Amino acid sequence: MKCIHCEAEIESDDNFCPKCGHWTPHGYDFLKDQTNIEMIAHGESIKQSNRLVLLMSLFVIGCLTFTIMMFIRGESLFLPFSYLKKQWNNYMYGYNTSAIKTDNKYDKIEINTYEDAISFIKKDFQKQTFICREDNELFKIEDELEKNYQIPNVVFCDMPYEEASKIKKVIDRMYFLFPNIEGALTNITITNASHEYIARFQPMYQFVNIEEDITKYNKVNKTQILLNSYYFLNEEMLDNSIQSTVGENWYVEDATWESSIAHEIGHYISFVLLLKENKLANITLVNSSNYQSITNVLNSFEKGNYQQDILNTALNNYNTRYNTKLDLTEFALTISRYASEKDDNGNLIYDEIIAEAIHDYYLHDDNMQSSSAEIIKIIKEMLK
Amino acid sequence: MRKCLNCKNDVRDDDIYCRNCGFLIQSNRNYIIVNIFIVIMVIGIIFLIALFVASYMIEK
Repeated sequence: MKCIHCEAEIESDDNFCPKCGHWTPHGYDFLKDQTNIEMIAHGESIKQSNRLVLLMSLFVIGCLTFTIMMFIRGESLFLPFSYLKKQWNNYMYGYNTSAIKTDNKYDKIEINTYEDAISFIKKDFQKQTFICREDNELFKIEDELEKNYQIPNVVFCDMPYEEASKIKKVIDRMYFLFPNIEGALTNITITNASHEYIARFQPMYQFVNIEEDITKYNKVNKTQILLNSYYFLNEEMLDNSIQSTVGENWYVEDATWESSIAHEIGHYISFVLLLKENKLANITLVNSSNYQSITNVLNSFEKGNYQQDILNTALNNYNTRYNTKLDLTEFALTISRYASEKDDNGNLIYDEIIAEAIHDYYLHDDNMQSSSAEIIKIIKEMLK
Repeated sequence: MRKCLNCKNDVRDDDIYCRNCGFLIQSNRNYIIVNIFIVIMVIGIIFLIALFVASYMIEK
């Protein structure tokens, strides 16, 4: 007997052709016979779909489920991953860490204008903010600082509101004391830095097109103040005084965790002075026409010659006014121990003296040390 | 002689379809691979649902 479809040999009692799977006349009769209905309904007597169809169905259901969930939750769907990552890092390091990534770098990006550069800097964090705890009060502080002082990105992600509020007061006061310093700072961001520092001013973080040829791609730098999560995300650290960590009389008198940010803004102010001197508003967008002048400014900032000139003038004024014969080290020591800190070659770090003088001014206003006052006078004059 | 996975009828070595129920006879390896993927897909869907629920439960 042959199959009516493929003509393969079949047995008379076969329901299906073993070669092509087509019905045989016997199979057709079997189905038509009303007495077999129960067996057919049971599902074992007729051809069924193989499991590949089940697999395909599950795949389609999976894709649909994922699409619907993404539509409802957006990127918040992945919050459990960032939460687990945070918990894992907290467990590994033994303290609260930040999930925000501050060291992203990008290459071969077309950046044509300053606005493009700012927008790219903003975008880098906008992509990450969903991993931060939803604290509308904290977001409000960040927004206010960004808008009030033209800082593209302020990210206090997961910081206790009270702490962020204290930091805001420091920044508000610093911009009140030095109103002409806006426009060069791109970021104030929480970051993970082990125990390296409490806060840090970074004049240039090469962010976009670092390795690219400047004639082909414009570059983007971040000028930022980084806040160490080890201190600012751990309330048990903040409950202790800053002196218990850095030592007595290291910073100017009455220093607090938050006032150390005034010190960092002091570095920023020193940097702004140098920018103004070189007729630059900022170093955010680097193109072939300003590449050299930005490189010169950064070299000059590193060498400290510019800061040394300010300090020598302040020292001369101080010695004349108070009829003393202090050298620069003694002059720095009147401000704080940190101000008189020396580098590995035994040279004074001039920028630390300026930053500490500004820190002193922030904390004590007109009651600051006379040495600090001489430095502040020059700085205020230069910022006009 | 093998058995059909669908109706347990005997299947001859060179048969492609079961003569009784028409079920496509595949190699064991084929069944194993398909079954593994089915399990993965089921786990994946359960994981997606768990992720969806957890995303609401995590303190924002």
